Amino acid sequence: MNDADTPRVIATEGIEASTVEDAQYIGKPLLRTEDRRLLTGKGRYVDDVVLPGMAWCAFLRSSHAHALITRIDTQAAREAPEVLRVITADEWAAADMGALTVVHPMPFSDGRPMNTATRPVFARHKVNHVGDIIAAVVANTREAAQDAVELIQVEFEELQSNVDVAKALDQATPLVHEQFGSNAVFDVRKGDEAATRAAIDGAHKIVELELRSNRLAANPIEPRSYACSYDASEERYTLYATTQQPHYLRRSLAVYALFIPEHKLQVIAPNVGGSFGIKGNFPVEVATVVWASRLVGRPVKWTATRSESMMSDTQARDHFTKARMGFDADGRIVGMEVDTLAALGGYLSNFAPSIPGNSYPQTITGLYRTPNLFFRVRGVYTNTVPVDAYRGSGRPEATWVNERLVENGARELGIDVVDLRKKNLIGPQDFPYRTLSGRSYDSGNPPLLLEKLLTLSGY
Amino acid sequence: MFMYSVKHQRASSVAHVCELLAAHPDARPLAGGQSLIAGMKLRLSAPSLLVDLGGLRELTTIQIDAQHVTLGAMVRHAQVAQSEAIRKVIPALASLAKGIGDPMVRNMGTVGGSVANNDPAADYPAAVVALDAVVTTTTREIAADDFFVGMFETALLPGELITAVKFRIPKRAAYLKFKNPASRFAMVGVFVADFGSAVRVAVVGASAGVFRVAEMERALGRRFHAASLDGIEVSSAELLSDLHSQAVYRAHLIAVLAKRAVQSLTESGSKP
Amino acid sequence: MGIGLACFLDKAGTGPSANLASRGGLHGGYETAVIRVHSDGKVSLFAGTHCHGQGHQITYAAIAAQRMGIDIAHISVVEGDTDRIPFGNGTWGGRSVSVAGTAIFKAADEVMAKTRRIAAHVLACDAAALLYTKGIFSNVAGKSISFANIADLAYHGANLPRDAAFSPGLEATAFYDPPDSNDPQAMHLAVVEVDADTGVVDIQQYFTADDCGVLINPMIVEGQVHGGLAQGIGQAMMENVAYDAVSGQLLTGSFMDYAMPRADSMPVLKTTFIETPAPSNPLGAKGASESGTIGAPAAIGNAVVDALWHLGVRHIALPLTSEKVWRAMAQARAEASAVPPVEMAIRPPGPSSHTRNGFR
Repeated sequence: MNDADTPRVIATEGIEASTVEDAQYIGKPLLRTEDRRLLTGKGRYVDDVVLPGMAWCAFLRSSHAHALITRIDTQAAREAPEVLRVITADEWAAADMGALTVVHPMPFSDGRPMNTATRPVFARHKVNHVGDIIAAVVANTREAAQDAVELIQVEFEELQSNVDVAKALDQATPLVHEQFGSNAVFDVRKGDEAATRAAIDGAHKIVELELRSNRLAANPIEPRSYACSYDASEERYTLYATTQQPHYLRRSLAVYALFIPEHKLQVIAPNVGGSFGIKGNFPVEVATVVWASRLVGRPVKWTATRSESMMSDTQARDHFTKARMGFDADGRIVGMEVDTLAALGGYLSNFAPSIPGNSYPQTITGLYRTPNLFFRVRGVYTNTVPVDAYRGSGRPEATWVNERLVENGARELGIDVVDLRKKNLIGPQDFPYRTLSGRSYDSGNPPLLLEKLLTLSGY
Repeated sequence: MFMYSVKHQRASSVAHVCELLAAHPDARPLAGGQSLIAGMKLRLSAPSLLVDLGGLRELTTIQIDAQHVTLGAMVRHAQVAQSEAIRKVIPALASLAKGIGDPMVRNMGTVGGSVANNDPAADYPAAVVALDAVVTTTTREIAADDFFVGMFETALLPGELITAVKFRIPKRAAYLKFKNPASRFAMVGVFVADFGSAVRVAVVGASAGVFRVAEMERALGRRFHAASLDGIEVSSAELLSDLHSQAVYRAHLIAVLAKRAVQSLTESGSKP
Repeated sequence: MGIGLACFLDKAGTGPSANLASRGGLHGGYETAVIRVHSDGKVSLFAGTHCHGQGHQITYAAIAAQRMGIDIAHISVVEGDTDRIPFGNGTWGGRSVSVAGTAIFKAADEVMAKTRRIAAHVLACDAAALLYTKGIFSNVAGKSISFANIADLAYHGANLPRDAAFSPGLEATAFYDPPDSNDPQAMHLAVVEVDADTGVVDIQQYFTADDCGVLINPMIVEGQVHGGLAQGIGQAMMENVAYDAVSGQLLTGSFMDYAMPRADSMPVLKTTFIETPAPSNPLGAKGASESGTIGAPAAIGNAVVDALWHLGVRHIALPLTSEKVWRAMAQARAEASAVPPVEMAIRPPGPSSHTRNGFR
């Protein structure tokens, strides 16, 4: 353990583990063991997996952002050469299959459970975003599957859509899921509204901003890919999956989606070419691939193309925030008020509600002493690809709001931007530091950290 | 996405290309494939036959005389970018080629393919127009000002193949490109060529196709200096607005890039 | 030119299962490690996380090797197979080292406790009197036995402590539920230059100082900071998923329209660290993977505001496309001279840049 007040020299030039004596490995910049293999083309990714007799899966995705499906005709696709099976929501329902799960729900502030419309394996009766899956084709080759997808005829009744998070709760905005009577998913509030309003209203200087956090796509270099084979004699599935959470993927599939014994599904995650949160355990295409391997009695694989990834991988951020911060004449923060609308997309995915609902508020006051906080975040449906975890998950959004307010506060008060921060930073003696957002910060030394940064940058 | 099934045949001569194109109405000539193959992979085009020009050595020559640089239609961007001979006489042409795509694109992409495709954001049309080029085809010669007729449309008739492009060597010239941050195609590209007796200014990326800016040409013709362009604005009315840039900004960039192109030629005193 | 700061907190190391449950979470926050010593003294280490670029192999092996006092080259790390690993909650939210690392730490301790008992038995002394160095146990009399030999004995099953509770074999499984998550902190400083004519923002230098507790492998942590910075710079400068406002069509359907940072988008990155140990795990480690994405948009945004403040610009939206910056400058200048700009009526699609706006 190191005494934080006497920071040791951090060496980051890589060294071979064999050069370390006496098994004192922690703290040393040991070279990774997998790099040579990965960099010389010997990595093994799911798309490299070729199983004997393997068939391919391709998906028909919605080209509409919001529409009723009035008719699906899969006859031509079923009869196309090399096609083994065509699957839609009807087959899934007829087989009494389950659903995918949102593992981190968020409630309304009055205790009501959230308005849950989980991302389905197949869209039923209605599509809610471009890319929404309508059908799957399993065929002998990838090209045959793709060609057959184009033979599926779908009739739509187009509906008005909304893709702007800022408009999601406006009166005139069309509802994504009519059954809720609202586009709100949840509504979380923290803090004392009256006290915070009063503190800010009475402050020497108030900064108000409207801020958006731009929507992102992770785009890991390896697209998502899944290959599953089913052994009928043992009633056992072997799934190769790009995933960050092999056991949870297994559980989601076995317990919630496909109703198979957990021990009868083996999930193998080989090398994964980046993920950043999008290759989690939410089995939206995976459930189809696994089920199809049993239906057709042959291994089945699906690998996303890049354009498919852009409309099926979960996306990130997409907030609209109105926020304000009050400062006294010396530049100390007296209060912060935040009202955020967070887009969750056309359906809910895995972690999604907790990112704006829990991770975001926990870091909204950052490292600054904030004696009054009122925070409100509402997750909303929009006709966009579902949002979920992506490196940072809620904290970049929080830091953007917090830091823009602090920065403008300093400038408008005419106080040096570094000095104002120093005034407001919590110190090492404040830890564990309980914030009004509910989080208790465990340990740290922000003033020392700032000093180190300023020294490094020659500020 | 994957291509639809397609047949592929390597042509043995230019005449052979014309025969094949005439015999198969759904055939397309394949030069570097950097636009065609990409479009086929997205299933945006589906020719029945690709007539591969890759073996036609007669189309890969670079000829330079006192007044012209002539590039065979199958000359690759990398060849132009690396050509010391071209760099000596029209450095702007070499640097234009160097700025196309990335090394893999440049190794495959051709001047003929780029010019025939006439992508509104491609670089070569600016060079063809600014350098007062002549496009030689299997049937005729077409002047630059007559060649580019619309978005992705040229004066080429069905079955007519570009064989060479002949560029006039200017006194001095510069090409500046403002790259689209995603595609790195030209959001705006401005090619300024001073021939002594006249100046030609061609713009790509900003509109449905390449166009000249007559007011800038006249002003620079009177005095070849960046200050001559002060106050000259291109109207945004005909310019493109899209996800990446509004017309107003493109109009502004044209003015900025034109000035910077002229400055690069006047300030250093030597070619860029 | 502009300079921008961002000071911030991350939250990492999810986390106590009870916390997750209290929020209605449907999964646990613990992690699983199995340390299996083979009969020849080599070790297989199984973990329920899954590496997708974070360097778990060397990091987990380092923790186990140091705790067990054996050669790191003797340890193989296995992840990513539900048949071989009992259970796991995966890799996300900067939890692998603090949670799985601690599970490994505990499993290592359990294995070593058993190892010491066997050594004490064989060397006929008290466990407390044993000396252990470079994989060899010895007693004060100088008699010694290697870790590998002990493993051999454990799997033979014969020469083991005479204790009904003592069984052959040498492995341990730890399911570790952390008492708390942890709070890494970091601060960023960005130096930018704005081209006054085109609005192009160039990040000239970028500095970071991170406190992610004890660094198990400083090189890997620095790599994590850099990787996160690339993505944070992407959000700040160019990335944006755009949908058509009327039709809902996805406009950024490929890399032709969705701008990803490339190597030439990156400034030189200078990173430094302090280490304030995490109180909630014996390694003192905190999550180290996401800070780059958290601070970069704010630091770069603040830097651009700094650069343009004197013109009257008070806020800017992300991503910082050149057009957006140019419009902010033009609008501020126009407001300053109180002449409404004629062509500013056209708003760019997507997120709009704002100055101030009413709150309620």
